[in-house]
Amino acid sequence: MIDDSLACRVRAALEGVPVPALPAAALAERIAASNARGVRKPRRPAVAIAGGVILLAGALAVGVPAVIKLSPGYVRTMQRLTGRDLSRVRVVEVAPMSLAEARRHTTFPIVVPVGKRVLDARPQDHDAGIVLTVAVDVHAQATLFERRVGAPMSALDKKMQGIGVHDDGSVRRLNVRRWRIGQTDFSVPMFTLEYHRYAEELERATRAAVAAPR
Amino acid sequence: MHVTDPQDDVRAARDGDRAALDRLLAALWPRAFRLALGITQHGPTAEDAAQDALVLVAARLATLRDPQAYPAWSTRLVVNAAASAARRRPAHLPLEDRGAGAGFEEALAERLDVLGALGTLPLWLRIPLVLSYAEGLTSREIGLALGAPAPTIRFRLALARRRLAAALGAAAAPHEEFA
Repeated sequence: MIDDSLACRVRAALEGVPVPALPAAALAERIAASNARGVRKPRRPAVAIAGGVILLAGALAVGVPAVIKLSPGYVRTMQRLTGRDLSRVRVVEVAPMSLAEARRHTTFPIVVPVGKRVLDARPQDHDAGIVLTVAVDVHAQATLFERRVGAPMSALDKKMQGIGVHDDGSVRRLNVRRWRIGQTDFSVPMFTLEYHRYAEELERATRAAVAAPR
Repeated sequence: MHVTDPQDDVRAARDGDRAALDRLLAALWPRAFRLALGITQHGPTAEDAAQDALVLVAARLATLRDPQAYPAWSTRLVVNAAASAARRRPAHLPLEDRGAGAGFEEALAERLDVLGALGTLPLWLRIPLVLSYAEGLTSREIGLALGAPAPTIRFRLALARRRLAAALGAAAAPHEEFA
């Protein structure tokens, strides 16, 4: 514990505030209500443009996030863009799994960015690569796509590359930072300006991981 | 007096022991409130955030695989709840609202000064500083709780300390190292 004057002042200020009594009854009620509802997964930054994630995932021939109902606006826009009616399409879930579990399911050489925590992993079909959700900042996460160089990609996927469709049906272009190390293509979709920094961090961290002696 | 190992409580609560869960939450409450207060700078908001965090702890405890990870895991939940609450909260509240309880005038003024100065730090600096100063966590432990590498946390701590010292008009010790 740091014991300089600044630390002592902060500690004293926080400890000087009286702690209210634990609202046990209210808490029990909320816990019961929460148990009745079931555990909700925390919202992530990328969820706001889930449509974009779906398309980008599609563009890179990967599984899309779990249990997503395509909104009417999304379906209409996709029909306008691609001429395909997705209203009857069932989105097949690729369940996120731990890195260790993903390694058991795939022979794809997964590169784990140095110093970054991998929150979950989604292996791609046919061992073509993997999608990692990586903690890049205190509250932020970024999606890191790793893909074998030359792995096959469908015509629709190629057509939709770099375009996102928001749930409200608006079309958005996604910036994507790409880099290649050996036989693996890496990419990070960048939804806002902050993602540029995350992508740079991830590029550095993957290069460091590959350069590190094994 | 009944004393149990917190890790035993974590295991028991995870297996559905309600009494163990109550003990865990009661032990976490003061820490959660103070941590949330350091982050939100506002008593009622901190109380709400601490409650949110405790509800999350109760709801997600079953998913915690390693009981030894409980302190870092619960800290992360509290920090996230408090940071969300801090972002939702109006930016400028009168100082009287900032969680100040009864006390001597001087102590109260000092407390308001320190809380006010903490409030001038952005969240990405305030959170590691509060975890370091109030919780006594090392930069590695803070990194584990926040999902950031230890060197990043050390940099943020040094920067936060400089800015806090400037805001308080105190001189920061130049050679202090964060573990």
